[in-house]
Amino acid sequence: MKQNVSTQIVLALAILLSWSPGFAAQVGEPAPTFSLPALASNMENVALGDFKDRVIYLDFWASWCAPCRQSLPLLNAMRGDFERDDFEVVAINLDTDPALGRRFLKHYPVDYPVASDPQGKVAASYQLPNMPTAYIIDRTGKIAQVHNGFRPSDMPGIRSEVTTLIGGGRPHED
Amino acid sequence: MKTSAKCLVSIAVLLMSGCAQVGVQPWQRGNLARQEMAWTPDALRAGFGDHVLFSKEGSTGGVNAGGGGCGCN
Repeated sequence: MKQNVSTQIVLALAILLSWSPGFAAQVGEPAPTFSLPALASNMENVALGDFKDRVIYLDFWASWCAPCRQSLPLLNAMRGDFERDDFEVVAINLDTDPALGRRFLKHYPVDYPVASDPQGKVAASYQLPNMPTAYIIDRTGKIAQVHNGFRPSDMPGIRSEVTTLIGGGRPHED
Repeated sequence: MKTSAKCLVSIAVLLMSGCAQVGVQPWQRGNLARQEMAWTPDALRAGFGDHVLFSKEGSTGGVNAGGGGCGCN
């Protein structure tokens, strides 16, 4: 009997240890923090903590992601409509070769900080469900909205969410 | 169960766990998104072919989605 119990414990431990699911970043949870080298900006590092007390649109993109050709210019234009103390777009490029991301930015230049995550460590910590994925983070550092994919017609909704959050926000819809 | 059998089963479970996460994550699809990885390298030509099939043979669908393996949107 004792042996059977120990066998079951060993097996249960082996299965539990081998099961390593990724937990996706969810609405209402604190956004996982990061500090990454900048891809192309006047900053050396881009850290989420650099944008405390602001509403953040955290955009994960890559040069091979077709919708990003539309999203980057539109996000850059939207960024210009808000005060810097209120809102910032922070982008994380996921190209395994950062040079590809830099080349992309030459064609689609942006004014907001862009970090480089060639190994996808931050992407893994957020467990992105799709490409592109963006997270709208409120002033307290919590995820207010997860935005899967991108279509230009999404922009009014994004702008509205950001405006609401800047103006004090509404409770999270958990 | 003998101790050796227990060890064997535990090692087998641990080894099999190596296959637990073999999927390509959305952010790892850079190579899959390359043009040469697309089922149909020329989307326009593939669309034309589909149209011919639809018009002449009354068949449609069952082909691939547009683009490569980016899985975007």
